Amino acid sequence: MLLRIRKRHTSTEDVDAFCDAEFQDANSGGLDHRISVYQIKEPSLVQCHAEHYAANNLTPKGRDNLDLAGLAAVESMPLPPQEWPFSLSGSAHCEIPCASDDDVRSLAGQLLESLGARTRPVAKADMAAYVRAAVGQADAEWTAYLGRADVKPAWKALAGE
Amino acid sequence: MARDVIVFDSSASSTTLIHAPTAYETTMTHRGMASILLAIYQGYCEALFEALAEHSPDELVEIVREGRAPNSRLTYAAEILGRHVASPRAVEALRNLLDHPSPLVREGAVLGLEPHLDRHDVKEALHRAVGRDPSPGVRRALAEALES
Repeated sequence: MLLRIRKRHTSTEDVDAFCDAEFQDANSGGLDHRISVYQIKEPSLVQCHAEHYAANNLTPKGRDNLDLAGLAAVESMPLPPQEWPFSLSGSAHCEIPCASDDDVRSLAGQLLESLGARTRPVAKADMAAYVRAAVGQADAEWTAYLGRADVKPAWKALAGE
Repeated sequence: MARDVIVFDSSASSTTLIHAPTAYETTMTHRGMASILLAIYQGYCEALFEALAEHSPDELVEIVREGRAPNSRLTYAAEILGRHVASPRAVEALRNLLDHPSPLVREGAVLGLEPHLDRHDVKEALHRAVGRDPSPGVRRALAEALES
């Protein structure tokens, strides 16, 4: 699957705002012409979601993520290990190059048309179960992440520490 | 007369005070900094909101309080404001957004208020919103915030 992590629960409630809210370039406020996704197998969904939230130092949240498989070509853009603490999501990172705003809006339109079939939900409880299991197995990446000075307390709570 | 006390690099991603400013300079610096940042980014975006939160938080409060940005960006402004600024005026601006007509913006307000759940009035406002918000997405965001 081509996993796109949703930013907002409510973005699909306002069809006009969906594209602008979910595919916004953080540095310009315009539409992002390099859409970030993870090319993964279905069983890695929860792991990838948890790693994305942790690596971006976000508070852990569930989301109804999206599978963009078959909608566009992707370019592999692995994230450097010195900047990204998790190997699975780092190596799975790809980008969908779009030539114009119209391309992005077209992609968003196709997504909305097949939203039900493309939704890949991950609940916070799923994340907690995954992280606790990883910690229980002394996973080196999660152990290192949770030992960082800047890790949010919510991650330690999620991990049961 | 205020001297120029700010330098910024060519990528405009950071700013540095080159000496400790006087009180007058501080006031002028904050106003000037907001103008500089607004000019650099030429539009509302997450990077601008992050920069304002660091260098000119009062300006970010005003953007949120007055709802100056489009809804698809105001939602991020609210989240970033709450993450970085804890002033009563910032929290009040976020609380007011819980009644915004756009669910996208209300979700941003919930995310912005989440770091302030140690305040009784914030917790109470979020609990009240659970029972009355018509949006399933906002109610999910509220449930997640209140369970954290």
